[in-house]
Amino acid sequence: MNEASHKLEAAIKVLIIDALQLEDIQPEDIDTDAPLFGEGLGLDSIDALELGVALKKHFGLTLASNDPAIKEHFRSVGSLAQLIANQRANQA
Amino acid sequence: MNGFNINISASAAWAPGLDDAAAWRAWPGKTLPLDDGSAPDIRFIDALLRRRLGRLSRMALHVANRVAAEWISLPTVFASRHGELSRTVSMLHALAAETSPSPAAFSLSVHNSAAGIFSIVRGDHAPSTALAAGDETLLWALLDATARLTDDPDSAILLVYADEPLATEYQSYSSASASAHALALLLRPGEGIHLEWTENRVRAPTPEPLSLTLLTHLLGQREKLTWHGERLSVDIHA
Repeated sequence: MNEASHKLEAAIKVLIIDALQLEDIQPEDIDTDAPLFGEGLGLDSIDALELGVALKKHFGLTLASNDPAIKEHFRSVGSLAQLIANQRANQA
Repeated sequence: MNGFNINISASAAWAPGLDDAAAWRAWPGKTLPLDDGSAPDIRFIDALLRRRLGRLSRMALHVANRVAAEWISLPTVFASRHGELSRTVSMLHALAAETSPSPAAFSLSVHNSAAGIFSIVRGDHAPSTALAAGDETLLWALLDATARLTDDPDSAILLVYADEPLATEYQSYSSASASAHALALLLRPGEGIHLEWTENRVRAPTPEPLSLTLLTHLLGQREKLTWHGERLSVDIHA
């Protein structure tokens, strides 16, 4: 775990709390590898859409709705950080 | 003559600075307190469901719960002149700025947002309507609610009215300036208050919405009140 990916994960946690209005949750309450949807935080499909919009806006993430791997990308903070890092590496 | 009777067996109202029944009893004859932007307590709703709700729905759900808490099931009428217009405005701003509108805002921008959340929270599948009818919204919501009551003495229906100030962009299109407030009424079969409407040809519209005139009557201040709208005048009396 390098410092850059750790920072990215922390930023994603803050974004999740802000964008999804999770009033009672702190960034440290979100486990990097825990599922975001269904179990874990208990987020729903509207949260998934809202998070997609927020990630696009803040990290310039490109998402294709027909990408078969999208569910896996949105599984956890860790998988989202990986996706953003991969896209950044490809653009670099 | 156009009129009908309503029988109100319980009521609750909320506006910024007017939190409980005692505050409302001291209110008639005054204008509403300055709107500080506050919203009422809706902790009866689970945090995950509550977090996305805007002030209009929070006000509606708060008063609804105060009246309906002891009822397992109640049909409902949710009424609002402008509804969740502020959400539509925020989405239009996003589109104008060529950014994506919020999916969460979109999901709750419909007129039956509060009705839907109320049904989910209570696990109540009773029928519900969501109405808007200009400055006469409350009158027709009362008629809808009354018409849906049956002769069964156990019959009851919950009417919830809520409004909030119009977005600046729309204010020049409306004659009345809406203030944030919500009113819930539990209606039962029977007579109590008579409402009668006539065409309003001459009188300037009453500056307050019909909901506040009805509240003044309910608070026992005046035996007979007349409210003038853009199209109709409404008499309220015992």
